[in-house]
Amino acid sequence: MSRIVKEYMGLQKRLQTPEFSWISFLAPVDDDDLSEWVCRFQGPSESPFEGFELGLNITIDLEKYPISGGPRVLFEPRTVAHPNVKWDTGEICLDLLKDAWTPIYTLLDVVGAIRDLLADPGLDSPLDLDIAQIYDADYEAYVQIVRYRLEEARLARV
Amino acid sequence: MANVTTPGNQSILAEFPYLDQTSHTLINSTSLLAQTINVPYQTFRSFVSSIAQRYASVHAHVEQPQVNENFTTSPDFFWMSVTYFLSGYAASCLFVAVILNRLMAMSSLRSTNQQLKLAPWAKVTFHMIALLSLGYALIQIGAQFRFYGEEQPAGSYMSICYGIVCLSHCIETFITTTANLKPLEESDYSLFELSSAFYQLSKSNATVDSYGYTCIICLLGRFIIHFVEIFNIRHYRIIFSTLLNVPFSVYMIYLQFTSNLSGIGSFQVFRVFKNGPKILSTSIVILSYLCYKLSCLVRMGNFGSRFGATSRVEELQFYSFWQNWTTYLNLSGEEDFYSVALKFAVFLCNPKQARTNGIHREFEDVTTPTSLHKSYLISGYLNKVDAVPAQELDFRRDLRSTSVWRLRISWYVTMVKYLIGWFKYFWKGNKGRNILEEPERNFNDFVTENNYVKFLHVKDEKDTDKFLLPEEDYTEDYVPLETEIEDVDDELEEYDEDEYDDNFNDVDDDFYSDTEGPIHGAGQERRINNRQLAMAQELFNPEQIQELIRSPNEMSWYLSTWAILNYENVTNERMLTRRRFARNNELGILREVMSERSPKIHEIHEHHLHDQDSDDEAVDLACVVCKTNTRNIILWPCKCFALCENCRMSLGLRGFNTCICCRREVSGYSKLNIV
Repeated sequence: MSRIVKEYMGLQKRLQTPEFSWISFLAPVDDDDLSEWVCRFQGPSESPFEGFELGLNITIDLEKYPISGGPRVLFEPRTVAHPNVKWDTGEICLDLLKDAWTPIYTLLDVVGAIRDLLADPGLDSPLDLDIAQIYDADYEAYVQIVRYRLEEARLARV
Repeated sequence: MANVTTPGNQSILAEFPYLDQTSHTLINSTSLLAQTINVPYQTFRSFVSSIAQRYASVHAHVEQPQVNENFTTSPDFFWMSVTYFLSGYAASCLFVAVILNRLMAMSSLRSTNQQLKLAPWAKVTFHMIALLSLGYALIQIGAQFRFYGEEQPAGSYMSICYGIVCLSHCIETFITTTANLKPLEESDYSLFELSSAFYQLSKSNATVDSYGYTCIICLLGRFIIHFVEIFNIRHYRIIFSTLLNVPFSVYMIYLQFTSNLSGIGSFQVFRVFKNGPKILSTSIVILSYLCYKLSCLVRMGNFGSRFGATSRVEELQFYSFWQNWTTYLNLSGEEDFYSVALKFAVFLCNPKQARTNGIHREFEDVTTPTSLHKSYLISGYLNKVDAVPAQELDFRRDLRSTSVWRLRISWYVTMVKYLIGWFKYFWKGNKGRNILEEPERNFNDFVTENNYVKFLHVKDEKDTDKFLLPEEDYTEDYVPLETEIEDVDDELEEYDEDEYDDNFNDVDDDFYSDTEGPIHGAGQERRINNRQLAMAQELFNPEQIQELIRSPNEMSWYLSTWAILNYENVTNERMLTRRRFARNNELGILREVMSERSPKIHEIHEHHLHDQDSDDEAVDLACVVCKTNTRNIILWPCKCFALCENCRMSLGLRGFNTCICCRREVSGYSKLNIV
């Protein structure tokens, strides 16, 4: 039995624990194909993302996961304004998803790391330079932009 | 098959017309059995005509009538096969076979009680007759090649040759059966094969090129048999046979490539048929041996040993086979080269061999990468640390500071040493087989015939561990010394290491001076045994045992002390400090810690069980990568304990070099035995 199947089996139980109560949804798009996953989670508290629900699209290379490569994770495009997220594609700049991946991480670890990244952006390697500059210069403005974009996305979805 | 002609097959049929045999039928197609009989018939026809066409095309290209000698598709070929059975060759083959059969039967009928022995002169005479006639045929072959003398017609030469071989068979069988031995045979040229080959060659007016080599090798093979028989050196036959066959096969290859015939059609069927398997199996054996030796070289090299631990050659898949190939092959030396080479090659190619000894059996779940990462050779994940990881002590220095040149030089040194060892192996024969030395000294090494009485061994009990010494001394001659009990400090565990060392050095001196005399003369082993027992007595006085029973916590403390005392006994060191014990017994301590921890883990699980389902239970000690197997691999030097054997293998084959948990460089791993 492959590792991803194992993870999937234990997932629903772990999601019910208080530790992961902030994840509202994490499941494969199709039960027969574990390579495409969707995740929805609450933005971290004490950050501009608090009170909003964010969506992730996760792609897993079943051949490589988990030993040779981790999952490929994207935010829903054009929802998240963040120094380490590309606005148009939702691409996330996180070392854990790239060079620093090791097989000990699970999907839950990845989602947790992304959530931490939202609350605490890494400004050394920004993907979105404009937002990074605003974050640096005027934090209040940054908060407003983030909230505005998220609100916009929420309205668009409804 | 041929009679199914769907539109898609039309082009194929156009290209290979012989496939279309639908016009040929054995019975009327309306009949019920038509399909069952006609289809095999048509298939057979397709097959035959494809071969016919193949050879026809060869003729067209090469225009060499010689090919005709060995293989023809004309009706003559069929007639030749039929007339063979009526020829003198077939008759003589049958006749000789009957004689040989009777000779063998005669030997089985003879009483075994009466050792009938043929007189030596008779034996020599018989063999000399065979040798002389074989020698005549061999000399005559030179004439056949037109080097000298008078050439005979091919047919008559071959019949003479055949007759001599038959004679040789009869003599050999007769003499060996009277001596209750097994006759030596040439497994590559049996009588029947020879007779049919000679018949065909003589019928097709073959030139000396096509039959000469067959005659030479066959006659020489028989010659060797009689030669070894006459000098009573049957066991060296394989050597002569190899000396004959290897150069001959090489010459055959040379001939094949330099002959003016070109293309595959120019292969002389009989020659290829006889030499092909020989050459193929020999090259398989040689290639396998080279591969094995290369992998040995890599293993012996410094890739694994850069931190003191050598990777073991024993882990190689074919190690045991190459170490014991003579026993696997069951060689007696009387076999001929052909049968040995064939058997050897079959052994090496047998997938069962690979499966029973191989990597795939050990790690069924390993997902092997399609291509090996280039750095897998130096991956610490594949470097088993069996001995004490000595590098633990000075590992503090950064790994990257080790200069590449130093590594390289020591790699060359190891390689040269290894090559010298290999050379010695061939020089001295089997003496150099154990190039690898056991690094650990076993306590049993100290036991000799003279002093074994002092090692009090338990009778009737198969002692599986390496301590010969029992934990207590019950023999009559044992008298605990007063001095020992006085001198041995009673608070061993309370001291700091340095203090402990100093103190004990003093104690040691006193102790040795005091015990000068009969006990001292009795040998070091005895002394240690006594001291240990004295310590034990002190620890386990009756009152304390009472206490022990009452308090289980104390019990574990005493047990660990006991392990230390025991260990001192084994290592035979002058004085055992805590540091030394830890250094030399790292695995033991790890195991102890694991077993100590495991009840705690169980407690945690029990705790968990109350609020969670039992599925989580396995997660805690499951390998972090596969989440399935139990962890049993510890990585050096970071001591991360997170992997199972399968995942270690997977990671190693993918060239991982850093610990997946803490990202430190990995120099090696150890496997823990969790009980």
